[in-house]
Amino acid sequence: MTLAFTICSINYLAQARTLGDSLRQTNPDWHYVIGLVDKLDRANLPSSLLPDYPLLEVDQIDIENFTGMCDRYDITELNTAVKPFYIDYFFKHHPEATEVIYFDPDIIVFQPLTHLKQHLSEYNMVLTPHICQPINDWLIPNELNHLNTGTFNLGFIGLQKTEESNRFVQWWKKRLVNECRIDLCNGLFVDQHWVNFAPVYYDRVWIEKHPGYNAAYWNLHERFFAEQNGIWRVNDTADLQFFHYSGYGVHKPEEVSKYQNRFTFQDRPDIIPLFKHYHQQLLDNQNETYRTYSCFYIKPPKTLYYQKVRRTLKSPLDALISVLENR
Amino acid sequence: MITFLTVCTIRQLPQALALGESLQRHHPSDSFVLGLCDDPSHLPTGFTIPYPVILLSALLLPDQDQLSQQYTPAEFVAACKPLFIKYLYSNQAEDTWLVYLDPSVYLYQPLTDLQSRYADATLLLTPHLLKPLTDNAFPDEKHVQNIGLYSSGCIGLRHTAETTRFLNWWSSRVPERAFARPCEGMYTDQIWLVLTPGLFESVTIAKNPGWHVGLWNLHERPTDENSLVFLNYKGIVDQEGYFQAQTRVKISAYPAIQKLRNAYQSRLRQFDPGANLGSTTPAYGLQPFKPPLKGWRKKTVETLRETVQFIENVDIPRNMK
Repeated sequence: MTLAFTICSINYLAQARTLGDSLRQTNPDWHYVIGLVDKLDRANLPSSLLPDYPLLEVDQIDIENFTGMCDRYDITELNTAVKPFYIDYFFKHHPEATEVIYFDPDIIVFQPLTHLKQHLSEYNMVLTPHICQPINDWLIPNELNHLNTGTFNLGFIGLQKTEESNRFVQWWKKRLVNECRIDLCNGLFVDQHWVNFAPVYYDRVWIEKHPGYNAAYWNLHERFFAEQNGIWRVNDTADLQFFHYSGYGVHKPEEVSKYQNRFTFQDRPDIIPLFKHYHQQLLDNQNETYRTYSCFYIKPPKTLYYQKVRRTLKSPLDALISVLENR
Repeated sequence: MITFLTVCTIRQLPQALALGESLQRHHPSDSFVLGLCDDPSHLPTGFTIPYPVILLSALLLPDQDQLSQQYTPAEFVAACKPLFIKYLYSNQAEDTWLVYLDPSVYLYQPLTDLQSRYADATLLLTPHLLKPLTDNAFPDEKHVQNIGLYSSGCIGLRHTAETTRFLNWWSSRVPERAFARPCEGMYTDQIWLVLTPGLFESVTIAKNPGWHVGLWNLHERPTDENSLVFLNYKGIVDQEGYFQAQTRVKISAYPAIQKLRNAYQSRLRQFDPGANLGSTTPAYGLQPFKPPLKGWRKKTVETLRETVQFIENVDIPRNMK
């Protein structure tokens, strides 16, 4: 059995449901679980808003030192840090799941993923690089951004349950307990940058360059879309497998993604129907209601008082650092 | 046939000549070419390099002065390295191997895997680390991300259309962006290699533990003479590279390596008896090199930074009573 899952908070359940609906349509024999970084009883979600898919709350998967992670991380960091912990949980508690596949909630699947299943029978892991063709400009995101944040996009990872992939998951978990931060100067970008090591440390990691996988704003320069007889094709050569609507918001429908400045819908009329379709699905799945729920794990913003005192205390230390660094 | 290439400054010539010697021993029928990334007029009078040489002037850098101005000597060499490789590669026959090796590399066995195990590779990369780190020494894995997972001290290029595509890409990115600036995603010519398994076909990661042993991986590599294929002395016998500040391995804990190092150092002395080469300041790369902090200085700076961070972020309620 193939187990697919996503991770989100209640405010993103419209996305998670949309993903689930697309999987149900295209891969009906897969089991789909929503990992919820939130607390249902605290949110008091009316039953009409409960998705038709199993929800697995993050405090139910036996994460050792979960409180510590909650303290250390902001909501984005926490949502990404728990990914390998969910995979580990599924490996342990769902012995029938021979493959475990993670999708970001803002993905929808367009085809039966038989090609993926084939690769997961031959390889321990399947990863998708952000770019399979060079980017010849320095708009955002460019190659330097990818160097800082990770070669592979961790909005998707497929794992066959093997000893080798379990070793990878245990290593990844260990790193994400303390270092799932964004700190580019120190080589950190949440869970994603770490996975650069996967093909180095572990054997039989498949780097998937099929243009129909994980299509998103970061690879639009190399992928063009067209609908032919009801099937979405990429570059006229392959069927679109899954599209990742990263950074798209129903409330900014004129923007391809808030994380990029390379493409507009005007330049890329080919993607307009893909986004219109998604937009409508989110509305149908009650995005407007879900988005008002604030996550249980969000910490109140900290106001740092006494800035002047802090500056006075800091300045001799900064001076000393500078002396030591410059000899 | 394999063509080996190194790129060095005059200061590094003794190392390059030692590399040449080890290549002649283990690859007697293959060729070795040297890219001189320095001003040849600074060579000691009467000194000739006993290998074919590519001069910097052959690369026809349109902005050499500008590059020299903006880089440290090591960054400058890194900026030019892809162009040296491309220059030589363009004269190579289809399907032949071109192997770039740092001048500080020394071979102890031939690279037999190249034409067997890796025969289908387009680009062959050697990772700094093959196994997860299990200690808290410097640098750890996140720091290795800053400089790139694959060392640019050894790059195998089999002449194929795909390899040409790689070289065109790499050599168009690196010359202007060879700074060691991790915050901006830059680290010499090396960090770019991280993207290549995604960008190009049949990029192969050489996981042979005897290949490219160095200061960064001694703790996980074999050091016996049967297993060791080549060693990079960068940071071991010189003050080059990021890993000179590492705190993981002490050479004294590896008697086999210590012995090899002593023999290597005596070869270096033989190649530079008057130390004329080794004392030549690189002509290009005018920015001063700031060596990485080490020892007590590094520890003190780290503690101070933590304290500063604490002062910046500690929560103090407004009305303390």
